[in-house]
Amino acid sequence: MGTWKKREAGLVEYVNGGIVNCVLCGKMIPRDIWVSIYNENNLNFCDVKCENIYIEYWIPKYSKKKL
Amino acid sequence: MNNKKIISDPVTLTVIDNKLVNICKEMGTAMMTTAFSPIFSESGDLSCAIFNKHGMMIGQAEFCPAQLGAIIFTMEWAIKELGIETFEQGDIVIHNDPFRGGCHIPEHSIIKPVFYDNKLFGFVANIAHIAEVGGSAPGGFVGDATEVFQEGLRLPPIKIVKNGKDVDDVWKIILSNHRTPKATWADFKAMIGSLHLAERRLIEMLDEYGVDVTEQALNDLEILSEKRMRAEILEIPDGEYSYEDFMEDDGISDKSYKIKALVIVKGDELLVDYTGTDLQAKGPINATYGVTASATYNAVFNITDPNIPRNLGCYRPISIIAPPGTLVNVSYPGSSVGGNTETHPRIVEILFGALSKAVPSKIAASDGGTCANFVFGGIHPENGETFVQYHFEGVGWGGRYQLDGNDALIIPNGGTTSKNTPIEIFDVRYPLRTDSYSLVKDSGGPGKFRGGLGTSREWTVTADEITVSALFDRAKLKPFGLFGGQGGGLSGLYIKISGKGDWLTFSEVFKTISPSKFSNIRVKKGDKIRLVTSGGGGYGSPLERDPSKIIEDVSEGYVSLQAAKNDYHKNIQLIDNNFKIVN
Repeated sequence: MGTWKKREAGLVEYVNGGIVNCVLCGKMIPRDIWVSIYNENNLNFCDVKCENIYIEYWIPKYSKKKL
Repeated sequence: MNNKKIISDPVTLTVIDNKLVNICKEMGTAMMTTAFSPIFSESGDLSCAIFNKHGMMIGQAEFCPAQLGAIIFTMEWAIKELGIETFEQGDIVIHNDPFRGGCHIPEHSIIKPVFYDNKLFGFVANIAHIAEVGGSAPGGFVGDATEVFQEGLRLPPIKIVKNGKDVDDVWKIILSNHRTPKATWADFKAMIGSLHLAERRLIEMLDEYGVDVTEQALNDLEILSEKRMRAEILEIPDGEYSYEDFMEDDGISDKSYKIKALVIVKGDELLVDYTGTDLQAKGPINATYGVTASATYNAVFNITDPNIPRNLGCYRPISIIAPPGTLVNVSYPGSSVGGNTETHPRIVEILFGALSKAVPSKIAASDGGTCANFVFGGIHPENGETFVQYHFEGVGWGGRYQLDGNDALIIPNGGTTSKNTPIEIFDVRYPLRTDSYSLVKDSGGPGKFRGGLGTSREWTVTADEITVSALFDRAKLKPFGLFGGQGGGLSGLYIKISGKGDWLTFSEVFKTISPSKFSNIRVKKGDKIRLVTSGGGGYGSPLERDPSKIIEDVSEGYVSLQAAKNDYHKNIQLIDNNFKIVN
């Protein structure tokens, strides 16, 4: 189960140039990140829908590490 | 599956949906009739949309599909970055950043919040191609750019108007970085003016229906749109469909780049997975996520009911996987100006190729697959002012189930409103004299249903010197045919140096790495330029083409007698001034 977190905002975002891509769809996430933990890693998603596709499609197809 | 119930009555739903569409259409007309640049007034490279107070699209009209797919991401980013609470009456936001949801630097989104009874109701927005945006070459189409910084001035979402007053500091930055500030000023003012108009129309609608009825209808339209899109996807046979094709080079090296798509249809949902696509290019053919998502949506919209209300609901059943750092999802600070014009159509064609196995009667063969971006600028000899023109050109469209492809139209996903620029614009506004403008014989891919024809323009330069840049594709790799149909003709850009006899490519004359992607080539007075666009691919075997259509093609000059003999029927002959097939 994930939690919502906010990406850093304001000028610090411009100074650091931090870009967060959704682990599943690849989209750059503007502000709100759905963070879930898999295999002790924090994974960043757009939302629950992307996480579900990650579990149901991406992991079985591409990941060597099964849940 | 969406099980939500629709509460509004069908008449109210239809009327409000049509009102939103018409507001967007009126916005577009206002922009086209008040802007300065031909890319607005003649080419119509612009789109308009309306969003609810959460930034979700609630209405659009038939404009440029590539822009309409992208504006949902620029809007989302603008609201998230600025914060919904910071919008006030009279504010206007500008935004073109490819790394904040944008599609490429020239495409500027302008956004205005609409308040009703002092409460935020929603947003009106437009997106349009600004002809000159700074960067290392006039017109922003730097065919050999390697970083976004070379492609023009990048604007994250910022307020250009605050509480109804111009933010002069922002205007000064923009106008001092664009080569043609008068055009920028006038075109942005046309965009802003159309937003004022849309705001008035939206308020009139709210006066008539009230906020509660309108918001209920908008909510119901979203449900309806999603239900109808899901019903359409349900009609596509479940399965996994794949296809791949290539961008022929990136302007930096001769290497081609693969785009691979796997389309998975399962029930009423559709997933497109671009895993396996090549890593991003050094040159400017990379697509942003917004471009790839837009191309994906547009491909699906092309094979589903066009009357589904275009709002967030119809996007919801479609999912996309576009790995970052690849050609379909450029990572910072990669260049991407050609991604929106060249890679976008290639993605759509690839999805058509994949889906041709599932719904062959709804698919066309490859269209010409390039916007044939040709940008030129300099000092106008008649008035001494700096000019820049961004020109894009129609191509042949692919042959279809039961129909030949259309001739000489801007790529299908480049524009519904986008049109070829009339020859008079070059003669009157720019120091280029048009010598000829014609369809290209034999450029339509042979097929049972032939591909449409590309075009050829020839100009003579009448200024002492102009600077030209280009960003084409399909100059080496033909647009593909389907089901035995053959590829369409190639695009190309050629030059005949004054006093010399031969038409040559820019690579042959100026040693550019790519014949179709380069920047800042200086062309002199009296030199001639020929711009050729690609034809569409054929659909079905040419051996199955109706003989009467072959004769018509040859008689009308669409296909030469020799090509007809080679591709269609070896026994076609000219007898008594009529073409006939002799058995």
